[in-house]
Amino acid sequence: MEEGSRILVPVDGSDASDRAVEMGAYLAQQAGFALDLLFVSAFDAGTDAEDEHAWLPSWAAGSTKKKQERVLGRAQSHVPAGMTAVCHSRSGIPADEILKFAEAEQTGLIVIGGGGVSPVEGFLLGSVSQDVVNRSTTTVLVVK
Amino acid sequence: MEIKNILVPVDGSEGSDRAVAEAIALAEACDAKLNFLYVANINQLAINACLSDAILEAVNKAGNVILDRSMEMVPSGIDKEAFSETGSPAVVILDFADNHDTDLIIMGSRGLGVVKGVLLGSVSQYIVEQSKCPVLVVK
Repeated sequence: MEEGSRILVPVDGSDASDRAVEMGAYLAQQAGFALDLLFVSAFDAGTDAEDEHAWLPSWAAGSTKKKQERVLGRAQSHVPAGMTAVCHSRSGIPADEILKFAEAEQTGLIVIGGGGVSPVEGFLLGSVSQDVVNRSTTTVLVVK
Repeated sequence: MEIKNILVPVDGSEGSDRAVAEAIALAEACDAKLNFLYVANINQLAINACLSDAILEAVNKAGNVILDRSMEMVPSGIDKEAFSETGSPAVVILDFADNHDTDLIIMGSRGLGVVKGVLLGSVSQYIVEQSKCPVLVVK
């Protein structure tokens, strides 16, 4: 990590992601780095059930905006008072969007929650954290 | 949240040197202690030879050189300690982390493994998956 760089914490509303926010905030505070929180949704505004122009039924996509607000709000609540974190959201494949963001925003460290999936889920879906660790050119901290 | 003990497994590879540098920066920022661990992969050596004292001594010496090099990189004022163990690296590293109050493991993404093109070495992969404490993989 270099001076003036940023710490990126991808969040998904899980307990492991809450712990990642706490760790990211702690390190940002200790080292004097800025903190970015990123939520990646598989759906974008075009499929938002709240929007009248949505082309997907609400049972399939749900409300993207509400989920985004809930997840980012929950992540924010784990940032200690007096510290500011910048919230971002993207839509697409989580690992791809996380890596794209890190590259574009000169992220010095990605702090991500891991171990959130059961062996079956992990086998079927793969774990986002594992994918990020494997493909990232940025240093990655996996929080359990 | 506090980081007091950082475990840095070292094997003398370029990746492990980068991990040491990153660990020093973090230890400085968090006022943490650095524990360097070298694991001699005896299981692998045993395939080639019955372990004579001479071989064991050579292995120990190689480990000490690597540990000394890491220790020397640490500026004064940062608490540090070197440990040497034998066995299967991934298993020994996780056991060590459990038994030494480890708050964070910092390691390179690939060690001395022979498979080129693999993005994450087998030891790092195993530790990221199995560790109970946070793991920082330095790229």
